[in-house]
Amino acid sequence: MKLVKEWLIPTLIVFLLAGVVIAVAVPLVNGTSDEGDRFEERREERGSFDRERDGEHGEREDDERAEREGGREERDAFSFGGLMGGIVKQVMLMGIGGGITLLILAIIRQFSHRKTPPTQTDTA
Amino acid sequence: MNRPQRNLQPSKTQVRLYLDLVLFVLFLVTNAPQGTGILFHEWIGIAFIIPIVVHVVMDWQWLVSVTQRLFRKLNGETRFNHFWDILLFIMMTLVTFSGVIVSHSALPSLGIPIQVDHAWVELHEATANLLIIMVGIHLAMHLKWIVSTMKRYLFQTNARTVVVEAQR
Repeated sequence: MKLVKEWLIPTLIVFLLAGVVIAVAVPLVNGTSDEGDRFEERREERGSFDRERDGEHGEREDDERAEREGGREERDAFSFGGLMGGIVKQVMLMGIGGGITLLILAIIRQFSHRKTPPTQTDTA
Repeated sequence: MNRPQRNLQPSKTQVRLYLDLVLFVLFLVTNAPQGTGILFHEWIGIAFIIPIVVHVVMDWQWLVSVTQRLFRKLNGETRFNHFWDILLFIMMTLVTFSGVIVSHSALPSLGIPIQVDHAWVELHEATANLLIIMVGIHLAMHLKWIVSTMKRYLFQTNARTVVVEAQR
């Protein structure tokens, strides 16, 4: 019973809330991408027409496919330098966000202390 | 003579600390696809759902109690924390979902064909970068707890353990 109350129900609620977020996001993002799709389609049509005219259609497609395959292998490879670079970038971004927050918190605390009525020793 | 029993069961705070540390390391690794490679990035991003749900569920009581008191008198810091947690949850959901939608390797390797939509790619990149800054703010808001708990459980011997050891 404790397991259901403390784990199962909250987990289901978390997934349900995530579902709500996705349900709201999907039509919004797809709405913006429809415009882009139409533009892409027009560009593709124009591109394929040009390629056919040039008579290099098959050859170019093969080159593109080979390039994509090579790129995928490169993207899937582990790189220690890339990992360290990524981590440093994140720590810096977090530091900026966290540092500004701590600064704001310190200012707020300072002001909330000032709000208290001054004591005799303060006014002396 | 009865020896005092040494309590080896970790406390809830201890479990939370270790889980949060694992979550933090996973977050850093997941957000560095240029180092891990796209395939690993995608799988670890999907696996990231489990610790993040556990992280939220472990603080469920706090979430419920603050939500119930939201429209009554409440400390400004607590109110901000609650609002920020909701925003983080929304962002985390968007990053994870958009990551799945634009998956190059993980889902296709399971036989699920994905047609990559550029709008989702842009959303994934933008929300992921924003999420890093937001996590920094989240950590700063809980810095006191993080520092005190780490001092207690990671950098110092537990006082209770010392007493029990001395009695042995």
